[in-house]
Amino acid sequence: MAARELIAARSDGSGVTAVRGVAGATRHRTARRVGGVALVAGAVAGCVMMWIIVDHGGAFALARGTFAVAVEVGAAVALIVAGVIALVRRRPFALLVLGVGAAWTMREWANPAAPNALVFTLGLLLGTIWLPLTGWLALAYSRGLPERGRDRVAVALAVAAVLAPAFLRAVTLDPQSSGCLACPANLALIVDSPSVARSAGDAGAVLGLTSSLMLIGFLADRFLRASPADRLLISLVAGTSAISIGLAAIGFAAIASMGLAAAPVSRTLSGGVAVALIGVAVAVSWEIVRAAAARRRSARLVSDLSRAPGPGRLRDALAAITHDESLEISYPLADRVVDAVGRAIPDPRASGEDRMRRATVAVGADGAALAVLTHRPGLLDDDGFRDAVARAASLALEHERLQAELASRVSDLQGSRARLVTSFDSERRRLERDLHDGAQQQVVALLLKLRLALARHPDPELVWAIAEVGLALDELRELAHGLYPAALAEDGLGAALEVLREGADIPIRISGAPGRRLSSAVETTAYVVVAETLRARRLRSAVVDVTEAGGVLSVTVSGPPDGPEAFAGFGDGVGGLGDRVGAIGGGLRVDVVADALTVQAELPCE
Amino acid sequence: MRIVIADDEMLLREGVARLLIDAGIEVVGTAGDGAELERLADAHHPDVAIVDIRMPPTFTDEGLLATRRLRAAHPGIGVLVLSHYLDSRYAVELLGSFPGGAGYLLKDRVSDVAVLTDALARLAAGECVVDPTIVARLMSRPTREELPLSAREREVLALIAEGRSNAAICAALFLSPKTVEAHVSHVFAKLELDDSPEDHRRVLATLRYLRSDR
Repeated sequence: MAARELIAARSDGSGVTAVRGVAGATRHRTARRVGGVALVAGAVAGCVMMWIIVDHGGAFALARGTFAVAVEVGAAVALIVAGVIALVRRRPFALLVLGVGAAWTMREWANPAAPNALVFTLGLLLGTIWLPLTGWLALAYSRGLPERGRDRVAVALAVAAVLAPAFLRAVTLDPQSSGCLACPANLALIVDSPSVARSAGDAGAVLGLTSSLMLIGFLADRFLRASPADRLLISLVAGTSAISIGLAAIGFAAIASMGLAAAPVSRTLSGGVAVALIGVAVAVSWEIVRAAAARRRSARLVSDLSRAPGPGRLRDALAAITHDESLEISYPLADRVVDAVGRAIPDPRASGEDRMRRATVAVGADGAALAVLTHRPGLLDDDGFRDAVARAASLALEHERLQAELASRVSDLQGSRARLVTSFDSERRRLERDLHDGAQQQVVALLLKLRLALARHPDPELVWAIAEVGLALDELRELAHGLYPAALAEDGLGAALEVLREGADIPIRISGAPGRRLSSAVETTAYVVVAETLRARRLRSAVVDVTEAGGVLSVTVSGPPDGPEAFAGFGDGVGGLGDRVGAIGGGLRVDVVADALTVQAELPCE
Repeated sequence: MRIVIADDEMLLREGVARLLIDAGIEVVGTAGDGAELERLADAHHPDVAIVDIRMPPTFTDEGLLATRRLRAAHPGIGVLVLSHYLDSRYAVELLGSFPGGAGYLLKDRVSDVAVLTDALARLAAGECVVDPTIVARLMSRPTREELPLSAREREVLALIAEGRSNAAICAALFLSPKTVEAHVSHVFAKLELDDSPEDHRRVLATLRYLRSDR
């Protein structure tokens, strides 16, 4: 059997979004790999550099303990590790994480302890770029790059706000002439202008503050606008990022207001930022590790799935695998959506109130939707996991879908059958009334005219005519009654059976009667069972019993037959009665008990 | 005798009116529905109303309901209900709610002047009328065919069920009043019915007995 290629797509509650191909774009992946490897290499180198600088930087009057050093270096290391994990697990934000880690290492490069001028210069230029990159990461986190132009603009603005003063300062600052004799040369120096450099530095602090606040604002807006499901997922990363940016903002504010005197405050805050960035790295990795662990845990269950569990049990199996008891499976058919037993249900893909739930569409090999899984945000949001589950469950899903479709069609047929019977009865009732109101009235009027004529002109022909018309009237009455007894519609089953008894030529005893009016389909079918049995079978006498209990109306006609022919020919269920009773969901039984013929119908009535 | 006729079929009520007028009976008005009937009755105070059992709006048993309202407004009025239906349900219901002066005839009968005028006269006098076809049908039921009655007694029973007074039975069977009374007592005794004086109660008791299978 050819392996089935299932493509799983996800929707965010407002319709199906992207369909991710299993055989994805290979070139894209290679580019990512290359970029990732380069970044990792760069970040590691940066780490080393940072370590060197920080270690040597103890010569400055910037008191720092080993702990602070470890934290700051540790933040870079944590981010790199998280980035590697994300890269290996094919997360789209992996490069961003690595970027933040690399940028964080550059913070310390504009330092007297920098080993060479290049490192020093790069530190001057890019030392603060970690801030907008962190904001970008936070905005981009949650399964995709920034979706909105506004977010992109915010990031771009932040980058510009951070880089512009840094660049300006870099081209005008000569560390030697500014008093830092141990600093290496500034390769980017164009014009030595200490005042401009200082102003650029001040502007940098202010712009840093404003862009931090702007990034936090955008983050908050994104968070608030996200669906409750999304919020859960991004809260950790967004929160830690916001804290790091916020602490940096406080640092900028301190520098802007207090100038160089803010240095100790700034140092402490920098330690806090490092801790927050470690938090970001942990948050990013934690989700990835958790998904991987869950996948490992579920590997055995997934293999169980491919052995096609029974209907209803498929849902339980999938719920166990995805750790989501609220999971529901629905099957979109050509004209409706049904559940596993064929009942019609609303389409879960239509946007609904409950935004905590997501619909994942499993698409079959021919591109049509096979089944829709509705679940809470969780393991099924992971692309790899979702594809694995979809592949394993494909056989079982198809199987259950076929059964559901069958059940749905059968239910359609039953409904149609019952409606046919009802429309048949209504038609007969209508005919009876038409006969009664129309033909019978007219014949009576005719009789009247004939008698009037007779009164004026005695004529034997007229007498004969009157007699004939009288017979015709009797026939009409019989016909109308045979079509549909008026008593049945007006007063119900009990009255109709009484009329039947009155007009019968055998003794009939009626025991029991329904205590209330029932639906026309049930009353008519019950009546027809009795009338047709009495008409078709020659009995010497009959007992008709009617009882209603537990939502079932039970009608029994029994009696000793008048001759052996009465027992003959029950193959068609007493003249089609079986079909009629079955059409409204009831059952018919024919018994011969102690020389008595018994026909019993049980009809469901609510 | 003054009559009103209520029937939603115009041909019929005009025809019956002419029939009665030809027979010398005064028809003070014809109505097409229950409301019109009541208006006519209030205006002209007839002796008997001929009412079709089926009238607008539902065409089921408006006639019966109209007769009750009529009786409530005009206590002495006689009511003759016409119907297409052979079964005795409505007859029993009608007689059960009227203390005399109520009758039930099949629609076919209206063209028979003799039957009609006889029925109207009896109703005006406060007696009951039940269509003989209905009685005959009841009496020909298998359980009623084997009653412990002689042929003559069966004839008497049928006439009682039709609402006839003892005097009418005498005339119909050419018997003396004493003989008729004796037959009536025997019948009621054998069937274990309460022997009421000749009024609607004995008709009702008889009809009920005939409908049952005791």
